[in-house]
Amino acid sequence: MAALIAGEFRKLLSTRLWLWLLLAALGVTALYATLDIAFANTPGTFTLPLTTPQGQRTLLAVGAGGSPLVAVLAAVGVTGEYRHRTVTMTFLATPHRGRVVVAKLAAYAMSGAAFALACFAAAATIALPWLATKHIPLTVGVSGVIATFAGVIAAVAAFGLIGVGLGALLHDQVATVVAMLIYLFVIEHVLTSISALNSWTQYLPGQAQEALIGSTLANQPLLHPWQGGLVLAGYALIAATGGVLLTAHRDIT
Amino acid sequence: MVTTPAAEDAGRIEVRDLCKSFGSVRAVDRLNFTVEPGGVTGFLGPNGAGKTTTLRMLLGLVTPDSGQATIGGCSYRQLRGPNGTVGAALDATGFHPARSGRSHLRVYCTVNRYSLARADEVLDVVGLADAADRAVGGYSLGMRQRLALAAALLGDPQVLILDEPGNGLDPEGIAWLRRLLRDLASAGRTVLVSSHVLFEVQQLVDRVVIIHNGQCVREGSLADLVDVDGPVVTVRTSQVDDLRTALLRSGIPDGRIGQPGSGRLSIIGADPEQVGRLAHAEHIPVFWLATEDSDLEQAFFALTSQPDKRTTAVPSGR
Repeated sequence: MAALIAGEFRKLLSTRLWLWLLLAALGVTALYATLDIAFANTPGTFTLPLTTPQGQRTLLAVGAGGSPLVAVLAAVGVTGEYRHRTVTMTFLATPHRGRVVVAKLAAYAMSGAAFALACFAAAATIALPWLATKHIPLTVGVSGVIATFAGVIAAVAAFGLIGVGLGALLHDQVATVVAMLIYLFVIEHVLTSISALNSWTQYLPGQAQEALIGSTLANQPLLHPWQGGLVLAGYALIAATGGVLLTAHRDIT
Repeated sequence: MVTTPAAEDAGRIEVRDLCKSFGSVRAVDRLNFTVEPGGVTGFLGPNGAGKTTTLRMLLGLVTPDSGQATIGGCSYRQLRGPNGTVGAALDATGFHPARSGRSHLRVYCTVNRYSLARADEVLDVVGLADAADRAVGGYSLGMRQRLALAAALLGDPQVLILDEPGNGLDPEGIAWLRRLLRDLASAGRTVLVSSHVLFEVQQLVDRVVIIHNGQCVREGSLADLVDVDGPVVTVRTSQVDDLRTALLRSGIPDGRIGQPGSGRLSIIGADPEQVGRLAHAEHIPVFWLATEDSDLEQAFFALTSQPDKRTTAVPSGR
């Protein structure tokens, strides 16, 4: 299995997509962090004041903002094999297809963790000096930083798993990527903006991520972090299991 | 190369009663054949005969409806480290366009725990060393064929399965491929090469398996196909089915009767006099009867040309 995972990393690193998506994830993180600090104390924003520990946790948690891009990277890693027909060679080398999907799950969960690490570092690099120049003391505390850090890593890794699972389920590259992006950036935002649905929408993947990373949004109820983690793990498990099962029986013609 | 009986068995390809349908199309229909090590076997048939589907079932990529396809007595999925036992080049399209030839091969070196230097060795063998660092998207079809072959050779396998490897190769490339496959076969390996163009593999193969409509119509040495079959007799008649029945009754095997067009029958290795007398005895009108010296292409064409369903609608001339 170690060799299969290493093979997945060799595939991933032998094209440039990971680099562009990492740059995009860092850009998104920087943007969110900047907006959060710039508008934190304006009336009418969703975020808490930056002086509070929860406000500071929410600021650091923008490191998870790249999770849709990790899901895209993972989905392309699976569907690209069908699009470019490299899946034939892949399954010739490893006829037990479930092992291929498991190796991809592991590789893209690790990639997600690496993206999260880079983005968390970027968020901290922007936030800490900026708060210092504004003379805002750090109230978040070590345990708050650690909880946010762990949540960001776990959440982005989970989106890597979801991307692999969905890619293995749908197979079509454009359909998978477009469906994921439309869902995460449009559909979920529309649903969560309807406050009557909030007791339901807190279980959606994006909201579960917000819960897991310890964001606090003034206009939304969120699950406890551990609940958010479980819900996100559940989505990842369903997508991954479906992907493994469907891949095992499909004819490669 | 050790050629103990065990090694011979390890390289034998056996296809038994293999069936596969896609929707209502019967792609492979109770197919049987065997491929022995130590030679190059041509797997021939027109486009749509079921060659690629058969190879993909042999390699565990497509699940048969029934029957078995085994390599050394094992199904592909039972093989341990399959790349080290069977090397396959199925199409010249299975590459990521942005990946270099070397990177492509190194992926499978890593997966199989081969040394990365093995990628450069096989690139040398197929003559792609100079293009190793270029993105495959810029390769010609011939270069992609060579890269697919390089990937098949990566594990130094006992069995080599190549689907239409001559596509996109220039005559020089074909000559090179012939030498390479000869060397591999003479070292005791099993080499199976599919093609829809007999001309392309005529110089390449020792034995042939010819399939048509998913069934084996001919299995034997290339020499048998050329020499023993004698002339091809082609008859034009209004009662194709009746003549076919009469020929079968007279002892000519089905595999030697082909239908090259509407209202025509071709019989390989037949005596023209016998065919004429038979038609006369059965009161079957014959409008035209011709004898041609059989060459390989004609024999192949006669065996694999599509029966034309419209012939059954021709009114009987009796």
